[in-house]
Amino acid sequence: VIGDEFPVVLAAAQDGNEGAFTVLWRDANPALLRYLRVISPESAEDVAADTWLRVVRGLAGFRGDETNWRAWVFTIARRRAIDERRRRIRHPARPLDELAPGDAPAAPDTADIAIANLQTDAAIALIRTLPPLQAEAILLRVVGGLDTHAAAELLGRSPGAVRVAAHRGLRRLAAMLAEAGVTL
Amino acid sequence: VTDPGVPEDDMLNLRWRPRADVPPVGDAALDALLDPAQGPDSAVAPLRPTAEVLAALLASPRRTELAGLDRVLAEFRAADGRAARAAGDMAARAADGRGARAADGRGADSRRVGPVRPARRRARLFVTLGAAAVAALVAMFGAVGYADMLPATLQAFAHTAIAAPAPTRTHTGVRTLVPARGGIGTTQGAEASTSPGRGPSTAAAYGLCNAYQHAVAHGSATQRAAAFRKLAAAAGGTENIAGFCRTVPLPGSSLPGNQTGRPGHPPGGPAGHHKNAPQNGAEPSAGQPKAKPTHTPPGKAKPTHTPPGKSR
Repeated sequence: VIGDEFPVVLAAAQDGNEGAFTVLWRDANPALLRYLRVISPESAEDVAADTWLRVVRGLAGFRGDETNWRAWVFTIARRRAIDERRRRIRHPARPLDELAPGDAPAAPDTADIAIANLQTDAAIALIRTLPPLQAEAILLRVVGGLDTHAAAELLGRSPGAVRVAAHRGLRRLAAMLAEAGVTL
Repeated sequence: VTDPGVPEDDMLNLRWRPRADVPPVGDAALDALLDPAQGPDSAVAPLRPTAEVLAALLASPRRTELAGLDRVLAEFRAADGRAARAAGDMAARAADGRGARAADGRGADSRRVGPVRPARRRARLFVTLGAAAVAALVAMFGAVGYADMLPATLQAFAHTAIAAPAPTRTHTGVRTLVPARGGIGTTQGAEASTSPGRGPSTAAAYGLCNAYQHAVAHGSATQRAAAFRKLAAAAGGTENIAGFCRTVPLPGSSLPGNQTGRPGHPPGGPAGHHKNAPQNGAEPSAGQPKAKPTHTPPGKAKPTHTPPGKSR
């Protein structure tokens, strides 16, 4: 979250300042990827890249505060994820040997194999076991930094429904963790 | 079958797995868990493992999560938000943006995408809206022209351009009785007579008298009463009807249409149509064209008979 400097950073990015846009991107992209790894695990990176292309094209017309900004970015990402899911249903995945070299997934970086990352991966995997609405409600609130109303608008649900879904997801998560008897 | 006392050899023995003991937590504690500002330590004990999971979701970004910036920046340079920012004059803004980009040395390939397409789209929109506005104006001009509601000059133009009725009102809005085929700027048009100045225009006055005659001859009592009431109102009182209908000229003529008749009983009986009026009234004056009697422009003649569906 950028905070008080967000309006200045946004205005500079809209004015063509690459440094300002980089600040916006570095702030939102990790959260975006973690959200997408739950709702679109097969194509999170592709959807994120496509999302940013659309964000760039619409950046000049964006008006709003930081919450609006994050809601806008996550809304684009969610729609792109839905489109990608439909596309994958229509066109099933190709075998690996048909993949072009550029399409091959990147090799894991040794520096990434760290306790913190494993914890993040485990947390994402755990959230992914929740029902979709509950998982999305939790992720948009926690990772996306959206309030209940913004998350509700994004999900096309009422704020009450989103709040209930988040609560149920958290209770289910607590039950799973207590049952497993483990902590991250 | 889950009883531990049952011998394992006898039947399937499923181990009893007790449900984890999760004390109930309130909504407030769950809401606090969703607040990113709250750390896992501030969570209530039963929710602390959950809080740690959520904290792991907010861990510092890894390198792979910060890869891909170059591609996005390339698109950012190409799109260049500056030129696409304007909401109004997009074409001019786009031109300024390209000039500014060229000035600060940024990529020449930026013309590929970005503000150019919105500018073209907007220009197309302007052209479409302009064409629609022009079409609407033309249609409105035609409609008003056919309704003979234009000022005299414009009405004359509409008369020649789209065969609208000839102008029948002066620039001051006083309706005149110009023969429809009098032409623009002809002597007849210039010498058009104005209404007698009492109540309605001459054509309307003539129509009221005619309508009353017809109602007396063919109409019901209600129709007679209605026609009489309107005629009395136009004449300024029932006592004035006789003089009113006697002096009202024929449309397009300076002669009274009912010169010899008395109110309610015009000479020659009811005049059903204007074209009969000259035959019933006085002889045409010398100044009038003989071959073609003047007439009210099409659509202006008031019906002097009651439509079949309207009679009781």
